[in-house]
Amino acid sequence: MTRGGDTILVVDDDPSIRRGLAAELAAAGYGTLEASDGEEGARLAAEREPDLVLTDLAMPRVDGFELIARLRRAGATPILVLSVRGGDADKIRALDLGADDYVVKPFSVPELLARVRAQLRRHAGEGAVGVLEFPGLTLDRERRRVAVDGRDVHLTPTELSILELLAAHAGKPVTIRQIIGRVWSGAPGTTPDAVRVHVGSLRRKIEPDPARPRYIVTEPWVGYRFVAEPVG
Amino acid sequence: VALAGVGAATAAARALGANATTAGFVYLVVVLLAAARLGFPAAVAASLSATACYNRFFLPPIGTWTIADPANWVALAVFLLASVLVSRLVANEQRRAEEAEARRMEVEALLVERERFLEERAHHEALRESDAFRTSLLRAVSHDLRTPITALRLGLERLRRSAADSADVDALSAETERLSRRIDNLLSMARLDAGTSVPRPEPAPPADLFRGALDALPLVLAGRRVTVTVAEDTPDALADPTLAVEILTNLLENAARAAKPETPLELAAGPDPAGPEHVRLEVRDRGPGVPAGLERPSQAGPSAETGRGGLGLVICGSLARAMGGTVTLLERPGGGTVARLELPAAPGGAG
Repeated sequence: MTRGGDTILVVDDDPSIRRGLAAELAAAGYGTLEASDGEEGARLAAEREPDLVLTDLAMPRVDGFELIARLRRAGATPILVLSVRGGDADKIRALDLGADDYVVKPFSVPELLARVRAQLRRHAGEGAVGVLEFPGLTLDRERRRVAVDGRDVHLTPTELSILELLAAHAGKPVTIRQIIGRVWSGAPGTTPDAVRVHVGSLRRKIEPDPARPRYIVTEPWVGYRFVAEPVG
Repeated sequence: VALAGVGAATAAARALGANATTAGFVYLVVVLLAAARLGFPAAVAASLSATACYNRFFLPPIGTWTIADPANWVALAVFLLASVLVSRLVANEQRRAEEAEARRMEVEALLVERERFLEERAHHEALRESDAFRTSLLRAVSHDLRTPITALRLGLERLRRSAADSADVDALSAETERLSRRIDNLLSMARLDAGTSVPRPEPAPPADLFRGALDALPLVLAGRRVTVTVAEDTPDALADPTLAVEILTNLLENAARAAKPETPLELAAGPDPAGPEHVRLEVRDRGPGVPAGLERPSQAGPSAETGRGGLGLVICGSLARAMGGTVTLLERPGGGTVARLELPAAPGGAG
């Protein structure tokens, strides 16, 4: 499961959390770097070019938001944010600044490792065109066709655009604002409720069991996440 | 009174043998006093009577209403004019003084009002500051409780890798997660109680809420069979997703602990038969049934029976109530408990 050789930079001002995280990541086969604030984090990121950055938000001197902004000016390194429960405004702000995902403290280690894997994989596969394949679902972006369990499913153009956007960012939360921006070209008057209606009908068409969504789940207050892992 | 004053002045002036000029001034003083004390009409009456008395008693020929010297006609006329003018002036002055007094009182009233307004504003600011204080206190408490929990979990994972037998570590992990959930519960309650956060409802598909609850209990539900059903025509809940998941997690955890591990648990959502305003989310088990005294935890106070699962249920009730919902425990046909969470339904039907 682990991609060997990837290096992860851990930025957190709490030493027990930072060391604990580094130990878990090392045990999972990743190389690790540690920084205790955003300043040190930005410096290490520039010098050592990690494959992924895992950062807390509230830190002395240079905080996580500033670090995200600096990293995004420098490149596209995946950024995973350690957020606190109830900090929804912080989460959305971090995503808007360019963070790729978040885990909420106290997180479970398997959950954290799954998020790390998803980000590294997504980053490696970025820019791929053509056919996206997930267990039970195939999305042919050139022919604009979708098949669920081998059967073609008819989607409206809006539903297809939403699915393409979410599936292209599999494992990453996509905000309602980003969906409106990409699918409706930011058309004024497009409300979150309109997005919800289209996502609702999309889910009814592609989810084999609506009670146990396999592909698209809601991220409260944020938007949606395509959760299936790509095949291959 | 004005006329009596004029009479008294006449008598006094005559007794002193005053000449016409002195008497004129005495009369003027009387008129002035009348104007100041009694107002313009009384002053005019005093002026007229004083003029008459002046003529009769002080202008030759004395004791008659006639005037011999034409110059004295002028004097008398001037006296009358002076008296009326003075009366007028004094009355005006008096009125202005009264108006000024009224304005002063108005200004004073305004100042008092302003004072009260400033006091109220200071009071409101103090309240806001104490709100801000409570918010930052809760944030600090939240951070200081969750950081060690996060460190504990990481430490347990480290321990798990080196432990020969992982059963103890599993038990510790399960208890740590449970502690973490209780902290979440209490902080949610504290936030709602302190008014520092209000529920933020959004349309939430029941399947996503169930998924959130299942994800929150990986250890409690390990190896457990849980079925999830969402009826075709189930509307989305209009609820704060974090709080709704928290409630369902507690209900599911209680069910998992109450019923034997080999019995399946059921999560089921459906429309409320009573009408389209609500949606029902149920956690069903095959355990021993409803604990006594906990049939309607959303109406119970904190003093309610807090035996097994009691605290969690009372918290569930409070959180549900904060979102306009209810939690009810029902005996399940065939044995076991149905924990029912009813939440407001999102408008626009099934989504």
